Amino acid sequence: MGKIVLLKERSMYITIILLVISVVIPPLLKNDYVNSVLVSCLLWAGMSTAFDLTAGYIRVTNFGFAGFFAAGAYTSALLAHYFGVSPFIGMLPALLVAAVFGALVGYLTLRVHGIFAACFSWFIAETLKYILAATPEVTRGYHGLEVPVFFWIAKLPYYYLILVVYIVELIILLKIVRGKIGFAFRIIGEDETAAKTIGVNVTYYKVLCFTVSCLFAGLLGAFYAHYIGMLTPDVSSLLYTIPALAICYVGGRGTLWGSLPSAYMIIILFEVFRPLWAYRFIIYGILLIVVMIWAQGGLASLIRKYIKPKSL
Amino acid sequence: MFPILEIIIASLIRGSLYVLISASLALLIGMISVSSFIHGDMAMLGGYLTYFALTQLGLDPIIAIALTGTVMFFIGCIIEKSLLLPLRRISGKLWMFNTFVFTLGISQILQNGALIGFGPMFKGVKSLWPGEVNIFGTTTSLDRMVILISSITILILLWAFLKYTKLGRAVRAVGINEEAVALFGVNVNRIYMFTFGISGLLAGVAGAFYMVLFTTYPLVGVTWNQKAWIVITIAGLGNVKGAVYCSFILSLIETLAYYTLSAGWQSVIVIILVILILLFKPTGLFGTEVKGLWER
Repeated sequence: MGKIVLLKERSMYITIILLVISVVIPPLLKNDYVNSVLVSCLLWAGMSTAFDLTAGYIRVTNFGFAGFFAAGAYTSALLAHYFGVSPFIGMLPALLVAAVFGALVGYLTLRVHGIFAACFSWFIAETLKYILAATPEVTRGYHGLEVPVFFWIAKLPYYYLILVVYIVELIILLKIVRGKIGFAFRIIGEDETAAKTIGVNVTYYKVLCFTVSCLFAGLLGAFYAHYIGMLTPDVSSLLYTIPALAICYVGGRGTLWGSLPSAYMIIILFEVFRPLWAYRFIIYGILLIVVMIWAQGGLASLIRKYIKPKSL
Repeated sequence: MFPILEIIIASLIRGSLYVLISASLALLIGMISVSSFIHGDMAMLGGYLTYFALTQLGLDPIIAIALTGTVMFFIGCIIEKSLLLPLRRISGKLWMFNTFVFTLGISQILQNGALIGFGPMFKGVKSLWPGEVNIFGTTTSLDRMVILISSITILILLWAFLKYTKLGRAVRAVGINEEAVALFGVNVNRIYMFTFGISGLLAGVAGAFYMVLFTTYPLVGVTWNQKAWIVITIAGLGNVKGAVYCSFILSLIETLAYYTLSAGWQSVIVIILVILILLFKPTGLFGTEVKGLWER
């Protein structure tokens, strides 16, 4: 799966360049449609970056990722709907609920083989969906919960909000990953027995990794709720996990920065070739198969081929 | 009065549908360590194949279902040979997770392909064997009884195949230690292909039965897949015998939940049960008996 690059690598500049372009483009173009496309690019990039923390580092593919996303989304939405809490404040409980939820699920399942964590969190997400659908008095079920939005004006403020969220997320995650904790994550992913042998508390680090990943899922969920303005229980289904998963795998697992170019590529592809939108899940499926057989490293390894990382 | 007999019969019939699909999934996990996500969609394909065999070709029901089983066997073989074998060559320890994600991709293609190819309509047939059966004063349709009996027959055949034939022994041996089996001169790749085919057959027949009793539609596989995985998790991954017991346990619990709770909550109850089991016995009820390849 390629070299392990622990220090700063030059190939990451491609994400930084993309981010700089992202800051500059919207005020230049002044096009609301472009802004909304960019918002969804950044939202999915953020999702798959958080997904990548578990999939690429401790090597646990979290199939119930959408569940934590939905937990955050519904927490913030219900608070705003019933108690009139400002969406900006609502993001904090959303993130906490998702993190606690993630810690519980992680603690329950990560002690055994990772495959249990994967299918168990998937069950949890599906259960959340059923519960949300079965309590229409509170959540309005499939009628859709109306959520107050952040800003009543155009998409531009949303765009800068999600940009800030994404940059903060990326910086925090990169800081975690490049420190001592990240080393523990990586070694657990490579060889769990070896990690135990050198005295790493495997369960603690696994749960920590899972929790941080779920925390950001909750945060992005809250953003999504107040951006879309309407929530249905389907937020918690596999339909919301698959794009994050596919973008993460296409971008390259275990890089964190690979998700942004991949999200831009895939979502802009769908926008440019509009008829493809109906077949998007087929395309995600094909992308997954192609990436897993022929390009395990994803986009990141392709970029690394041309921009050599600095050696240790 | 609480209709005990009705509940037992209903849960037996429900269980006879679950048991085929979860046994096929357990076979895959236990023998060749593939954590498959496409079983529900194989069942969906099986349902559609039987539907077309019955309505378009006008075949006899038994022949139609047998034909479906054969076709699904070959579809399973093709999927293993063309897609999973190349993946097997490149993934080492991550094989379990890789197959999980990889088959998720295949399942998306199958589901959405079916949605485009067959349309979103529900497809079903009129009862194949009209008539009713009376068991101790409770009447059930003949269809259900035929399906119950035939799925139990299929299970017995599977057990006999695994236990007494040379090929079945080879499949079980691959489940225990594939390298040693390869040293004894067994073509391991062929065993992989064959096992995947058998599990495709079981899933396809399960889907055909479901189509006969209810209907089939492109996303029917989502529920199937989930049910199969719940059974497998309760039973302990890769334990075929445990999966057989647990699918009847699950169906009993679900039927009870149907009788006592309002719709929508029975799935919640089942998952809470799974959580409790995982809390106290993380490897499942029957998990200690069989240790999959992925655990070593």
